[in-house]
Amino acid sequence: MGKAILIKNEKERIKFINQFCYLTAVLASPYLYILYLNKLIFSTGVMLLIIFLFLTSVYLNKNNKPNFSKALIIFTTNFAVTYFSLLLGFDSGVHLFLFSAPLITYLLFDFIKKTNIIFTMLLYVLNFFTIYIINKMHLIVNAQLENNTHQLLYFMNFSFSITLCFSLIIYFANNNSMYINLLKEANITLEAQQMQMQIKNIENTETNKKLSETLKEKETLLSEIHHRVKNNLAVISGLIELQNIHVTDELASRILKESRNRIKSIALLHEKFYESKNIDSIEIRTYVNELIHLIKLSFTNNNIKIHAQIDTIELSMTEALPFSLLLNELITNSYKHAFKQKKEGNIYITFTKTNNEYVLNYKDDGSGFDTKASFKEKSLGMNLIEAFSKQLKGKAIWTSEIGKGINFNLNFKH
Amino acid sequence: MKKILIVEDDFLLSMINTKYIEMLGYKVVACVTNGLDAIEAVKEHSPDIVIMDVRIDGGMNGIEAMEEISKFSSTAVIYLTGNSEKELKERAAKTNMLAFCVKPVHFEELSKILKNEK
Repeated sequence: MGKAILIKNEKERIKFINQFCYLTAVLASPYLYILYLNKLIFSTGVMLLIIFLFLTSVYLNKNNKPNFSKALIIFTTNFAVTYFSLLLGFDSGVHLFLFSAPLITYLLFDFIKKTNIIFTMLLYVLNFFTIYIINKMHLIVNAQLENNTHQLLYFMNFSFSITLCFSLIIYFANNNSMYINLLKEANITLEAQQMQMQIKNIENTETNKKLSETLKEKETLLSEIHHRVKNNLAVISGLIELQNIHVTDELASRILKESRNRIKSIALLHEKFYESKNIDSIEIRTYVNELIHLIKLSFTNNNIKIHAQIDTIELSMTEALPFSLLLNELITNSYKHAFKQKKEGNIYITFTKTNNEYVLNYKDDGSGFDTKASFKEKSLGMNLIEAFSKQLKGKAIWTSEIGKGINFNLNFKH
Repeated sequence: MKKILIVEDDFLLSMINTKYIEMLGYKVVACVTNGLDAIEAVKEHSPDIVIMDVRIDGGMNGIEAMEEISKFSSTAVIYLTGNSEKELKERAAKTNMLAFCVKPVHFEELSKILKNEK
């Protein structure tokens, strides 16, 4: 805003500099006539040159070269006063024009351009003292003019220099009022902008309030859904367990237990997603450790050690569900089949992340199995492991030998 | 025979838990669905253990209800909850808590906790 005012003010200034140049040219015309009448042909030429230089300044301004124009005005005014003071004498009053020098300087430059102002003023002051000293030393050779002409020139110099001063004062008065008006306009614009900002702030506050209300509603909804899902899973799991109490057949009981465990691993996954800061992914290490704990709880064999080495890996919902169920099947299978003839056993789980894929390695030191025969007669557990591997778009490799445990490897991309 | 109070807002879950607990040989003195009823039931039946769902109907949650109950009764509590948030656990631990179980709770787990209380 301030810059805009300065630019507008500079345009006005250049406009008035041009007017000043025209006025000076007009005021110089009577001198031309007097000099010509007194047969001072060279000086007439000089005066013509001075008028020409003032008009050149206008030309430069109009061609966007205000700095050259200003320099030319400073030179021309100094040159004109010096030349005609030396020609016509100190008492001709030409030096009176120098009293308008501060006003001319302020006309040319804004207050903020202090160096320019000081330099210009120094030039004018130096000029004045030079003329004054030359006069004191009686070095001025006056042109031979009649006394009447001399008086006329003094009168002209006096009245013209006053005219120049007054016109400059009028300009500054107008300029100041224009400046004040511009500032007032700027102030009004600023106030309007401030008002708009306040309105926007109020609008933003309201929008933020609405957004936070919506967010709160969604959080409540999410919490409610989570609660319902967990309760429903608990109901299914509870019903299975109640039925299991009345089942006498060992196989049927085991199948019901496995189903309950699958529900529990889904419920645990659900819980981890709900607790996760990022609702669409979970940190899998904590989940796997809790899953292992849960599976251990549902089997009576406490001599099986599970060694899990899981990298800090975030899995998305689409990856985490098949991954967790796959792991559930692998561990359950080991508990069910691998350690029937052994009192103790070990399960090793590693889950690592490479540049573009995840690697799950699962092995146990149980009884192992004949892979060819097992793949022919697939159990539900084996079917599920194969299905979850496919769902993860992974490459699963089984290796096993009877008596040497199993080794399952799954690589799948991020 | 130890007396158990069940506070659970899901009717089906409440029924399943009641059946199982009765099978284990405990007496379920009442099943209520909100905190205020739980406070009244404790006053009326003086149960040995409350099986309390954390998120229940009404103005207060399970932990708040137990905080109120603790003012007049030393009955122990087993919390059943949908999530195991740290803040909830810490607050629950300040009451006379036996266990903080995340749903779905395996009956073996619940059975172990109740047996340990014996």
